[in-house]
Amino acid sequence: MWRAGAQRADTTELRRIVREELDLGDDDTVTITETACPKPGCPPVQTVISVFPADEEAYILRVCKAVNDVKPMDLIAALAWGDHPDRFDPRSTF
Amino acid sequence: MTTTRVPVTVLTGFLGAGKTTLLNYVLHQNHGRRIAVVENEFGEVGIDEALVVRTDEEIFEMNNGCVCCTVRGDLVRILSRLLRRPEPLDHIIIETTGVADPSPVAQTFFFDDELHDRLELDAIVTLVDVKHVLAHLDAAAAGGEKVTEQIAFADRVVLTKTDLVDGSTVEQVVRRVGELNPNVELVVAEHGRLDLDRILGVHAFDIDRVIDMEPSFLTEPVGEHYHNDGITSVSFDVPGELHPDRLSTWMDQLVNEWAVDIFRMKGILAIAGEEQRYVFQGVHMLVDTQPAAPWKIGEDRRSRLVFIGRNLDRQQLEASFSGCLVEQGADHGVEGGSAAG
Repeated sequence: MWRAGAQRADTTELRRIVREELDLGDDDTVTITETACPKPGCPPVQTVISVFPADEEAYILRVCKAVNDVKPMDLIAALAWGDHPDRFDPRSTF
Repeated sequence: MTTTRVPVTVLTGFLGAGKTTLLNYVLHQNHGRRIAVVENEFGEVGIDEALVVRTDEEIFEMNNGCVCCTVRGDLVRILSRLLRRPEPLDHIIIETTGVADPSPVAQTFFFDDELHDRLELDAIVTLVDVKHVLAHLDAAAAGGEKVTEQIAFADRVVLTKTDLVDGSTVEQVVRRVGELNPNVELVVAEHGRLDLDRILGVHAFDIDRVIDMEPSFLTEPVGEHYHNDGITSVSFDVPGELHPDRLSTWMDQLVNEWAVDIFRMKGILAIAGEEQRYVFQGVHMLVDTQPAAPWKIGEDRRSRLVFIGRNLDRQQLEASFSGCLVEQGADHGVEGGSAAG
């Protein structure tokens, strides 16, 4: 992960979106990391969102986009396919 | 920015090394700092006075498919909570268990920008009980592996119980510690007492101070030091300037292929077209790179890197890094700056 200081993405807006979309409280913690991988078959850039609910097990959402490109719909998709699928069941919308 | 960040000291050391004794000494000194202590639930002795938060180790793996970064989930929660307190803290000390792996603790401070912006990992301080450490280092069954990692990770090593051994034993311990971590600063605690300024507020991870605080970093001979359990210290010095794109690719490959084995790394980089030095340091896969002091006019531009880790291949590291150099006459569009300064 090559992270020159000047190139580091501002995660403030994404944090706000994550908190809003996941309905997180003040005691819940969110961390965001942008990773890069040059290996064939790997997404060149990935945003890893870790959620540490105050009284629940932590879980991760992964979006194969840069921090600045992540949209609310990406979070919903990541929830459906991520480590914590019972947070959102896409079948419930049908 | 560093003035507004709360410094955090990570206190490690094998069982019985004297961590709790040192903590009690720190808390009872009239230093005027408002200190919070994060103590593992299995701490041997309770800490008196001060804000003490006890925790259960929660290892949290952030596997992105290629590289696994392990952090301490309990620390993420607790540190975030401490930062929300209305009364600001002057310092946080995290005491790990004697058998704790220091990697997840250190990585916790690098993987999230918000934590990184509000907390400064001040130093990893490892206590070494000179009476027993040689036996621990020699015997993996007695926890030797964790002792070696704790020493290899350290910015400061505090030698305890020196009054219980003779001078030659202390010399032997100093030599063994130096083999594992050649640049570490040693501090002797006498009857559990020491100069706190040598372990608190030292800014060992402040990237601007990699050069300022450690002049030896630039003058130490390059080379390789092996330890008998595969812990290696590797350093090399490469004259010339680095192509930024090749360097970026090399950095990605470095953390993807070597991250598990690299405990700590730091270096000074001469990047083509940049008037400033770049300083980088990292813990496993997490690397922080920042511009530092500008090169002087006519100064010989060169890069210098130091790695501490397990089973590191110096030749392979140096050869791959040298592949990032600008090739004179071949790299059109990448301006070298050494002549112009």
